[in-house]
Amino acid sequence: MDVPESDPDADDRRLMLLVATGDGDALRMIVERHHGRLVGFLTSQLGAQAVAEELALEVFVRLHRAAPRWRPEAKLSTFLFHIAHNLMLNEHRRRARKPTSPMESAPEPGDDTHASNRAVADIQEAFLKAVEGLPEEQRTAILLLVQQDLSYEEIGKVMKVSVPSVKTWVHRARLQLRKTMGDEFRILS
Amino acid sequence: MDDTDLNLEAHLRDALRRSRELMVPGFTDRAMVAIQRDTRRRKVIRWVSISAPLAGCAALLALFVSAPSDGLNPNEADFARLISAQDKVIVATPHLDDTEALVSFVFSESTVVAPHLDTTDSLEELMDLVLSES
Repeated sequence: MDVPESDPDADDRRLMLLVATGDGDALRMIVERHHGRLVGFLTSQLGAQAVAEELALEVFVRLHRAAPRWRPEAKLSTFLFHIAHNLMLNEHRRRARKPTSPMESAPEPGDDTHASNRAVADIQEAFLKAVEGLPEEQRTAILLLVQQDLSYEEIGKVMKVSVPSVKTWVHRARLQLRKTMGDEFRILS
Repeated sequence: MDDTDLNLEAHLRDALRRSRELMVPGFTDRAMVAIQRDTRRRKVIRWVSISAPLAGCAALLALFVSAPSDGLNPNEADFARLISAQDKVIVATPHLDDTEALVSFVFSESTVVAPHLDTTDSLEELMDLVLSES
């Protein structure tokens, strides 16, 4: 199947129309194009890549189910993040009912060996931990904005909330991160 | 924003951008397998949801068509004897016992439905009700 190089969003729309007709190749291309960002976002949310991959698989299963009813009112990536956000909320609820073992949420070991790399890695690790410690809405909003480059409007669509709510959460997240990271950041830098 | 804030913001961006995209080798194949499995599962569920009621209807039809008129179980026979109208009675449930909550009768070409029966009602109480309503 030949999809010309052009606007990625227009390509996504074309591919989704093909998926709705049962085109397996188009579905493969969509998975190939979008899975990296979904796994990255979900790993930052959940702390464990294995769990993030399982949820990302489920995102594509649900996308396939929804394909015949899909309307290109928003970008496909926004729709995918919306599904991922809902699945992530379910996962948090599941974890609240049944606390995870320390193994499940343990960070994966890094491979930094140089002292300078170690310092940078330490700062980054500290930031990731600080983000993980944010309340769920603030964490989702700051990740979608800073990590995934979504606009405030797109984040509102993903989280099904108004733009002012998103802006409030982002503002609070930044304040909290400054508070959490302030002392540690001054020591490390 | 002072310098510290700007540095903080830049480090936050760097830290989060590092994990922006995690490409997983073999993920697409796994996704396609998961999607095919889900499609098959939904097909089975659809078929079961259609075929189970049809099978139920067929079983009921077979039951009514093939049941001999004198093939009543003891409770049904007892019931029929009590009201002395065996040839006019059709008990809608194939097996009547004290645990049945809903019993439908066709009696003298009129239908009496007694959904308010208590499951502990005895057969005699049931009969009183039928006779009073007929």
